[in-house]
Amino acid sequence: MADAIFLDGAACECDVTLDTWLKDALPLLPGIERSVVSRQLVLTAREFFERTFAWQGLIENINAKAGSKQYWQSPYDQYSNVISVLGVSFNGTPLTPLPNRPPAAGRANPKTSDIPTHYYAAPGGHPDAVELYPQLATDTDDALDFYVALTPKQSVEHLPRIAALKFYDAILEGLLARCFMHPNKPYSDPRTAMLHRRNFISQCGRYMGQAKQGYVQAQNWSYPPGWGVRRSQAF
Amino acid sequence: MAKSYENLITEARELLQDTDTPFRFTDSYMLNTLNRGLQELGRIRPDAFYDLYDANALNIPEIVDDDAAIAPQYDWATTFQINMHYFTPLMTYVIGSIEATDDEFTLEGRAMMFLQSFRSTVIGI
Repeated sequence: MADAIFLDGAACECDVTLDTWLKDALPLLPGIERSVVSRQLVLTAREFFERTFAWQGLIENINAKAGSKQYWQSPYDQYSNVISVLGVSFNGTPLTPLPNRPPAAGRANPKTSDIPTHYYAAPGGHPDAVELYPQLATDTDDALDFYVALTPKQSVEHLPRIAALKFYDAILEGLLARCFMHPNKPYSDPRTAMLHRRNFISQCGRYMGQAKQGYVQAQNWSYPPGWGVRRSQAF
Repeated sequence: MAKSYENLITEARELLQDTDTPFRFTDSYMLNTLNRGLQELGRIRPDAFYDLYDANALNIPEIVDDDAAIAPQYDWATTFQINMHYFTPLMTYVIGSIEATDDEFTLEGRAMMFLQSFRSTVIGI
């Protein structure tokens, strides 16, 4: 059983109030409850970031511990949770992600090393927790950096600055779609809802692509360092 | 100034032409009708009670003439707890329901007009 290590991220810039969107949405939604539309806005933002991984953070200089350890990333801070670990580096060297825990990692005497080469999501459906492979033989301070995708917590009253700076219209489209789909309300408009929903989905795809390019139009992928490993070395 | 449930009953009495004491319709009778109206509103527009969500339920208040009332009962002097755009529809519900029970003074269609007004204003523009 792996020991859990809980990590804290740096505080992110969650300084955009929900009012920013409500000012544009409320005139289109006659008779809606303000608290309902606020809730729908947070859920829309969560859906947007869950679909796109467009809000990313870095948790760096984490002490790597020897033995079987799980590195838990959530909650990132008071506003956000980690929904995926996009990359891990050990002493500046990127580790290769694995889709499953290597069978060898579950042995009574698992393989150990001073330099892990891979990481994988902690078994049991934890997108915010990872384990290293091979296990570390000795503690190494300030060795680990985690690149993570974030989503706002359901309880937030503020959204990240990037949401207003770059994704304002996309989130507004998603919000209107959700509200127009409500049944039997003065503001119900399922036909227009589908229009907004299509716009929202297409903008999710656009921003997902931009996020993969790091917002600087970089090549959005590279061969992981373990790509050329020989079969004899595999686990 | 914030309105209370008591204000709603008072304004309904004005349209019912029942402002002179002793009232034709007692306060408890009016409050019973208001409570049925709140429950009907909860059926049609559950989101109206979104801010009263507690213990896994959208709680519909029960309004009483008792300043010692304990939730989910509330004294009628309590400030109107839901959005003010439900104030007028609830008033029309109270008027329509009471008109429907008042054979002697009911004008034909008036009760139905108020009840339809309640429904159309809470689900339509």
